[in-house]
Amino acid sequence: MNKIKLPLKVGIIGYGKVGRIRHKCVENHPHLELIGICDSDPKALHNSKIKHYGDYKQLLDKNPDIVFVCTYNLYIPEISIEAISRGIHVFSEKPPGRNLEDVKAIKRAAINNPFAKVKFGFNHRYHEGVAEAKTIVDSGRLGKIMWMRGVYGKAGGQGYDCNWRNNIELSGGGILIDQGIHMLDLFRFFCGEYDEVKSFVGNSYWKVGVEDNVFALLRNSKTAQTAMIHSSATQWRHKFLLEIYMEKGYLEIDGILSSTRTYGRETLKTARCVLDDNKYPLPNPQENMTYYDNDNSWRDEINEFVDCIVANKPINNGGIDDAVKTMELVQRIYCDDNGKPNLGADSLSRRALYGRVL
Amino acid sequence: MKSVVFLDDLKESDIRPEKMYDEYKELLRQDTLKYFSDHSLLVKVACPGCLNKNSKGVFKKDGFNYCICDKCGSFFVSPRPSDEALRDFYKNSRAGIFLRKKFLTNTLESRSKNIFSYRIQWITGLVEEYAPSAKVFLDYGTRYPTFMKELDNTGIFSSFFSVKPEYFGQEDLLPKNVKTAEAKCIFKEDIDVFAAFEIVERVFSPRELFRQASAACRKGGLFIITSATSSGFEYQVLKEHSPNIIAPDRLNILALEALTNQIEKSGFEIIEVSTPGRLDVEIVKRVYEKNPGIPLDSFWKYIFNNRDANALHSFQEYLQQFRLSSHVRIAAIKK
Repeated sequence: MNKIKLPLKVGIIGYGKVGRIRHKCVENHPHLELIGICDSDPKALHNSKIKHYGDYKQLLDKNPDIVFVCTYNLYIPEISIEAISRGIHVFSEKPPGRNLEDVKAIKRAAINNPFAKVKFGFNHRYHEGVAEAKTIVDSGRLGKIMWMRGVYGKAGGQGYDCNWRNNIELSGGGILIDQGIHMLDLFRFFCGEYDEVKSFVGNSYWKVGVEDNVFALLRNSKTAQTAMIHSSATQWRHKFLLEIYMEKGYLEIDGILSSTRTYGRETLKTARCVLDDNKYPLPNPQENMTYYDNDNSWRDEINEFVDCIVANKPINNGGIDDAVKTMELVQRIYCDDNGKPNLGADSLSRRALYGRVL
Repeated sequence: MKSVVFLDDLKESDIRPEKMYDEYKELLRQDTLKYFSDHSLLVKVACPGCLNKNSKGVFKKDGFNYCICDKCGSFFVSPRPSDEALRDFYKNSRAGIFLRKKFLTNTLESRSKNIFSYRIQWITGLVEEYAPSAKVFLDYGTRYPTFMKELDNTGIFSSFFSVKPEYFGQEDLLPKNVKTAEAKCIFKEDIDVFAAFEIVERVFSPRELFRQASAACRKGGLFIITSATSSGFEYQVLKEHSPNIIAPDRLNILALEALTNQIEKSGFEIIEVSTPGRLDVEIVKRVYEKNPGIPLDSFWKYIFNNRDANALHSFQEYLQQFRLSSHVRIAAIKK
């Protein structure tokens, strides 16, 4: 087994908004040392003293211990596979590529190079409200989960129609693969796997070549646990709401702390089902609210990643298997059981939406 | 860091029946004269919130001089009785005996429902999330043997310590696995959860309490307190007119920031600051209705005269949401 030498040398590939966030996390971690940043645009570094590389392979040639892959989805598989095959640990942003084939290719590389740890940025698991809800669910004090309902929506926003996230060549899909994927990951985080999927994928407003609204129902046929997601780019306000209903009560995570703070104050609502004298539930039980002030999710997921590397522990959150299973759900939502796109009557042509990617 | 809001109703009379509370305060007033009339025995102190030495007396209450710190905003009594004098007072004064034998006993059922059950939920949640292996619980200045019993019934902890307990004469109500200790601090980094419920207000030196908690807690152990806070609506608006500024029960009504700063300086990382108090608006309204002449801002008078219970309930909820209620709870982890 290779001996770990601290600090771990880090390279960042892709220096947009997320790359810069990762840079700060690396700077603040005592076991990490940044050795270089790769971005096609040298101006992106804003005169930083950090060594700039125009080609990611040149950065990999410097033998970093870890690379953060913060590029467009298109480039994630190629870069991740190259890094993994060199024995470099990879932390990649989500989604893990543009489609299921992409992430399966990364998985094959990971299986062939078991030394390299691979983790994806499903940072919502590390939000305090989500973590506290998970503790409550796992304690069993409110019984088993019966169903979940998640809304993750945005108002599109300035330049939405020109954003790379809506360029199918670069992204692989629209609002679901970009933002809704977090909600799918949380469904799995809380409740495990779903084998039945029904969905409507549509484009209601933005003429961008990818979906702007997805409605999907997921069910585990053995446990009957069901989840419903609405992922939307026509919410006209930023909204995050995850409702978790259990046998003896419920949890609701309303709002999620983000860098822009536009998704509202992160709040966890908890309540127990109250029964009347005849053991029937009373409406409107007492609810308690917990408000969270800080978003440490970016820091905490990197801390966990580094801990796994240093202690040679498996990646339990956001690892390659999580990535494959979540992308399987994305693919099943995008396509019906026959592999054809699930498109509403108002949608774009199938070929424009999915013909080149799925 | 997080904060918690409770949206259910609680009336002050549920936990402090007015007649009995007035009786207690009258006894307190009489006993104070008896025990502490010799001012030469009182000790002058700096602000217990920030150690500022320049605060001056602002109002007198029941013979005690209350200062409001011009630096951190904490309310505190100075000069004040020594630690030993306070302990003697709580144990032997008629007020102390009345509090234990009548006041707390008669409100026990309601306190169990409205206070202890929330505390136990709080402790259970914190332990599950931050200290799942916790086994040893320490309660500082225990006043409610029943609470210890209810906590014991959860089965979370295997051993309990009660340090400097104030349940004099009620020892038989304690669960059998509680060990009591009078010593200031006989523990060294072996406590999983150190609790101080409504104690900060009563001790001679809150700073010393925080230091003891830090010495007693293991790394990763939890320190949890509840306390009145001067940052809350009731105290900010009513000041000396608050019916809950009573000495020596409330020698220290520290500002929120003073509390958190001191706890952090003692070696803890704060994980929760909530003001789950549910009584501020009711108390201020009642004081105003009983005494319309008190110097209350016209805005508050307008609200009380022109808005219904729903508006007042929402206002109390707002106070909780933004940590502006007068009752605070804090949880911290030993670094």
